[in-house]
Amino acid sequence: MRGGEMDMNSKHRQDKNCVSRRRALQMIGAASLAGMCSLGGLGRAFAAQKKPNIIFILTDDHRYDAMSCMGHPFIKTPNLDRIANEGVLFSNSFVTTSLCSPSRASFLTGNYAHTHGITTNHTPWDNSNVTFLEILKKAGYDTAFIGKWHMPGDNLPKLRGLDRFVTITKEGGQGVYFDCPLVIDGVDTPRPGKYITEDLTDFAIDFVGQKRDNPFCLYLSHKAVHFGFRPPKHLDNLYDGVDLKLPPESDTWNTYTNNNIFVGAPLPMNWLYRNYCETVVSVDEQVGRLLAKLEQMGVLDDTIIIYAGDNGHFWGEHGMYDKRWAYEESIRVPLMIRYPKMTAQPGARPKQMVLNIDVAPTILELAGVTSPVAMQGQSAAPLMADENASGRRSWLYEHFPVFPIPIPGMTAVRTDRYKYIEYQDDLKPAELFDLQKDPKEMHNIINSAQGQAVLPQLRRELQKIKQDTGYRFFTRAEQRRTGKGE
Amino acid sequence: MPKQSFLRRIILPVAVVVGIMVVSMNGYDFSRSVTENPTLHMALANTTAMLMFLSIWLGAMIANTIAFFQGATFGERLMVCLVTPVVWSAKVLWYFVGIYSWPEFFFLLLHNIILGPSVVALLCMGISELWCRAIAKRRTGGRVLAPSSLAVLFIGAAGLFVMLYNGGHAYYFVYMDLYTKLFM
Repeated sequence: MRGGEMDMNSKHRQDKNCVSRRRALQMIGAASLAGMCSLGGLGRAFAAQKKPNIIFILTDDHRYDAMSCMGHPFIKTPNLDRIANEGVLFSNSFVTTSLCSPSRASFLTGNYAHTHGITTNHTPWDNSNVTFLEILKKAGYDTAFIGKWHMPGDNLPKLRGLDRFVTITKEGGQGVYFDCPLVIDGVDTPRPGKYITEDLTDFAIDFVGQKRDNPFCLYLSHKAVHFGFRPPKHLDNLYDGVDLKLPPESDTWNTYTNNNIFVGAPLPMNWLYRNYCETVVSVDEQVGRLLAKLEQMGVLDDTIIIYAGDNGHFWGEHGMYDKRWAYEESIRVPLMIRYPKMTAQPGARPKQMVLNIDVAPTILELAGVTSPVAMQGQSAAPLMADENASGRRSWLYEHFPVFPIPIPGMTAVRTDRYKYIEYQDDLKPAELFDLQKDPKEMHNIINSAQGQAVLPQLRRELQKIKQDTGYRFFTRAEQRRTGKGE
Repeated sequence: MPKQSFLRRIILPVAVVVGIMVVSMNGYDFSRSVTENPTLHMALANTTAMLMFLSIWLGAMIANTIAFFQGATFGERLMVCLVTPVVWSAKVLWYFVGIYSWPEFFFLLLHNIILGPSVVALLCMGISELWCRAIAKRRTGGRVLAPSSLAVLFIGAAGLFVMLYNGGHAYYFVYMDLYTKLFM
């Protein structure tokens, strides 16, 4: 897959270079300017002229490689590919917690789960958190949150800084694919005959198309492609008969065994995966509708378009299904940004590690807005101006137990080369992987000579990041024992 | 039925179903390591997984039938039928030990994935009782519809209906609401 990625990447770059010399010169100029006056300054300079519109599209469980631009063997996603090819695809993008609610809150706040406090799908949203939408509203944006909120609490929160809030409360906020009722600005509204991805996109298009003087920021958060995996009728059976090319350790029964059934999929693996792939295509179609609307309005290039997934997904790798664990399939997500005005090399695929907590600071920097609150993420905007700009050296992955799932809490440190994972109360032996030699993380080298040589440094690094970010472990039992936590 | 020895009434039926379960479970786990030959991998995985789930979900039919014709009492048959789901659930629960508090751990016993195999076992036992009693009636007389047999059949069917209603979502959301009220 990686080789395919690189081949496609270089081919695309060659195409781009051949097509537009003028474009290349413009970008060199922009990159030089960014280098001279820092990208933050550049962002503010652009913003002083006219603030860009912002569309952030977040999908659920969309794994990093489930797109044709990432070399998937059969899924066709021309619209997502377009965002990648005309923008920047961060090819090493990760979530700091591979679970819906914590990850979503991290996108919104730019902070780790242990900081924003939404550590599980059961933890209510803390309204003292500041979202990038709130900051943008104060900076003069029209704002809308459309789609999956999925953070519990007795009621939906009164989010600050929203002009429009269309969301889902059915099935604990997960929603359903067909006929999913919506809460439209606080009003429960049945939606008979609607397919959720299309319905939410209709709201998005409506919001984007409104006449306004201010720039807009749209947060479009799909239910797709979360479990349920139901494509719209016209895509049903699209991949029937296709060789799914599931990993060799995968089989039909993975979803029922090794306690995978607790993560909610009492159906055969291949059936689920086929439907998942078809549902990804439906997301791509709806992204295409939104892009077409922006083009029709003539604002496509004035709009920052960000596409991301909230976590990855196992399809039998390690004998697993679902996500949560710290392995690559679970923590890697698609993340790409299309904003020609700030992109030095369209189609670039920076290799630096970029996280979900980086999205909020990136959006703010691109919009030329200074955050009034500290965020733990760091802007990825410099990587758009210079693919070779320096990136982070390591980062913290954290997972907190989510009842009733038999997966222990864990923390991990991931560097470009290694990943070291520690489990709650040593319920599972610690793991260390050499990601260069063993990208599928099949061989725990913790007891090998190589492992022993790098282990102390990785342990120190993990402790340091924990300390620097104020890490706390959250379980009910832990809180009772130590008085720490929420 | 004439009452046979403890070995034949209890140990034999339990050994048959638990034996199938243990062998198939290990066979399935082994199948994951056979990745070089996809055909063999799938054949092994499919065979062992089917046997494993048959033993878990339908084991009570086999165990109860054996126990019935070995002269086991109703209480003994009930125990025999619940051994497989209890062993399976214990294995499943083992992975939870240490992750959650003990009250949360015990609350897990009400989860439909934990309770489900026992409920299905009761249903299977009830079905098995009907055919065993029908055969016994032809041989030695007696009733087909005994209250105890009907009771397990009813409890099993009703429990299964409640747990599977709306694809299991209804039960699950009630369960999780209760969890939230008790523990959050």
